[in-house]
Amino acid sequence: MEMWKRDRIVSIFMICLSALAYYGSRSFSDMAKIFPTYIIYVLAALSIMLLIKTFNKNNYKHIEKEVDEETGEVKEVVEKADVVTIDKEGKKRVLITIIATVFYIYIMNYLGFFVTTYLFMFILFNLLKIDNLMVKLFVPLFTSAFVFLIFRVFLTVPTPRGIFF
Amino acid sequence: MFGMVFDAFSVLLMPMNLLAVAAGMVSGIIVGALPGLTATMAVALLVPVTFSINPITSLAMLGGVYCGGIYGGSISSILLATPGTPAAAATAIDGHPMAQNGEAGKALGIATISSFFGGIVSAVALLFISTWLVQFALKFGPSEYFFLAVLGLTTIVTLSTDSLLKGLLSGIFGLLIATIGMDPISAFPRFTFGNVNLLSGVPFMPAMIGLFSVSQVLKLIRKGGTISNSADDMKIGKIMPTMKEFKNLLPTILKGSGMGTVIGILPGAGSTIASFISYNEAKRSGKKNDKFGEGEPKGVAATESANNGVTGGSLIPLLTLGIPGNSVAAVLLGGLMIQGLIPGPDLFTLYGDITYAFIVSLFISNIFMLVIGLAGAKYFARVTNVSNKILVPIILVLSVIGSFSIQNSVFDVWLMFGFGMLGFILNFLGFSSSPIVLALILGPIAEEGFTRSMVLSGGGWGIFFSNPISLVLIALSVIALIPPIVRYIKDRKKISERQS
Repeated sequence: MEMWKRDRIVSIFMICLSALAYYGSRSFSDMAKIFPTYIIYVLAALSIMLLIKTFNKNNYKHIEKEVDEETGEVKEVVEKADVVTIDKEGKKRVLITIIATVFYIYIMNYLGFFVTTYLFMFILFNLLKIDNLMVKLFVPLFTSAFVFLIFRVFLTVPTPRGIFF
Repeated sequence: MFGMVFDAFSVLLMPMNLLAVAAGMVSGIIVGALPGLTATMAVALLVPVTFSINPITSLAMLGGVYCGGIYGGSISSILLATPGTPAAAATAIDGHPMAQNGEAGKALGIATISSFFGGIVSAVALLFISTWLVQFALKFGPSEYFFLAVLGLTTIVTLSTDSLLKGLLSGIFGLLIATIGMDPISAFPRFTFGNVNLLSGVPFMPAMIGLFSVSQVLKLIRKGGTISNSADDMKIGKIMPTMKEFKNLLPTILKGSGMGTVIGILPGAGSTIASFISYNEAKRSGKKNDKFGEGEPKGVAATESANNGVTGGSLIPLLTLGIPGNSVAAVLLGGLMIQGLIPGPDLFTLYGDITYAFIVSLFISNIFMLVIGLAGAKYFARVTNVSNKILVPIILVLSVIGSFSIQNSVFDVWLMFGFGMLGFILNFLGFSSSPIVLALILGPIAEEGFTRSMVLSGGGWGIFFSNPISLVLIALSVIALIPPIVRYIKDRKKISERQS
């Protein structure tokens, strides 16, 4: 996705956010209103400036130093801005990780921290296609043990409780 | 005084006290390195332990925990781009790219040496010029704090390497998020949507863990592979910088240590602010060849010397006036009082032997930190050769339990995750998360300083320019803003010239 497309998304989002925030701040007390109001104005102004910038393709070029392969000269060239490619495999891994983490945080309160942690790590290792069985079995164990020692024993900080441990 | 210092040294060289410092240091480093646990937490949890131990040994241990905790954050910051403590957030900017370039060992070595210098310089200041420095701190009023926060916020401009506009946008967005919660003057709940958990504002630690750790983790898993992009052991690189490299870094380190010490003295301004301002200054006074943002050693040196410089600095107002310089010092106040030491003039006379022992223990802590850090760096750096698929779940688990443990709250964990998603999406869209973190810390300080000044002056603007310190801070902010803006204008000119 080209940079100007990404910028346009963000600028429109920020403009909407400023509008919502402004609407929300109208009910604030006088003292509470001062700072947020300035911030909302500046946010709106910057977002509009960014939106305007996206309409001029020239803004998305910058100076890059290139070394000419034959002569070894360092030239300054005007390049177009970066394009980010969305890699399918990577995207799948990110999605898997996000969904697994959501389940992890939710279930943690029902099954208890350590059981859920072991299951989370074991399942995630499998989903991320790690082949080494020793890693899949023992890394979650060591991590849980480490957290137990540092948080529960050493610092006596409570961990989320559930039915199990 | 020199007599007392000498006695303090001889007491501290007793095996039990050395052991206490070492144990404190190691615990501090471990806690500091884990995302979610901070130096403040480590010290707070160990203070009750010192109740039954004699004053000198317990304070020596707490000093070790403090120095170790602030230093430990740099390890995970450099290796994983997930700062273990907020103080190390700025270290990731150049530290992690160094690790990605296969220079993890060197980055850790520089971080250790810079932290050592920062700690020693601030301990020297604490020992010799406390009373003089504290007079300076007493001159800081609300408008000075406002301008200090503004100076901190100008670092956002320096941090935005790609686009000034987007950097500012991130920062202002962060400031808006920072307004969530009760406002500092009239306690009116803003943007809380009726949620009790948001009344005191967005809790900073979960937000930082989310913005840095979780978003970084999602980036790592998307990339796959390993952090150092190879499984080759050689890619860790040497640890000790060469004499020439060290000489090159020395000005940055000394400046950073000084800045950390001075900023540490100001109550409410801590290691995070100090490290960002130091980074800003290093970048501003840097040379053309420096590659800040892509793995420039000066970037690591500046941030680490400053954040450890805060250790001694924060103890200056604590020991002289009983006013803690930051949250860790506040906890240490509790530690001192448990031992029967009330801060004030008596501390240096009646209880001088204990106080000087504490100060001297800081020197010893920093020496231990240097040794342990340099020895361990080679092993710590191996993490960059482990596959991302293994690292990511581990970091996620630590982030979850870390966010939970701060307030025993699952809401914080969800918040952390939400910020993680926000950070990941913003990074994908070309925005950096550092300005948001900075704004979350500095926003409340700026707002409180601003509104309090307005209340004090009854609405007049004169108060902002009445104190010479304010004028100096304004001048520094302007100076910090000039190079990036000039560069931006130059670039735009060049491009339009090429077009025509």
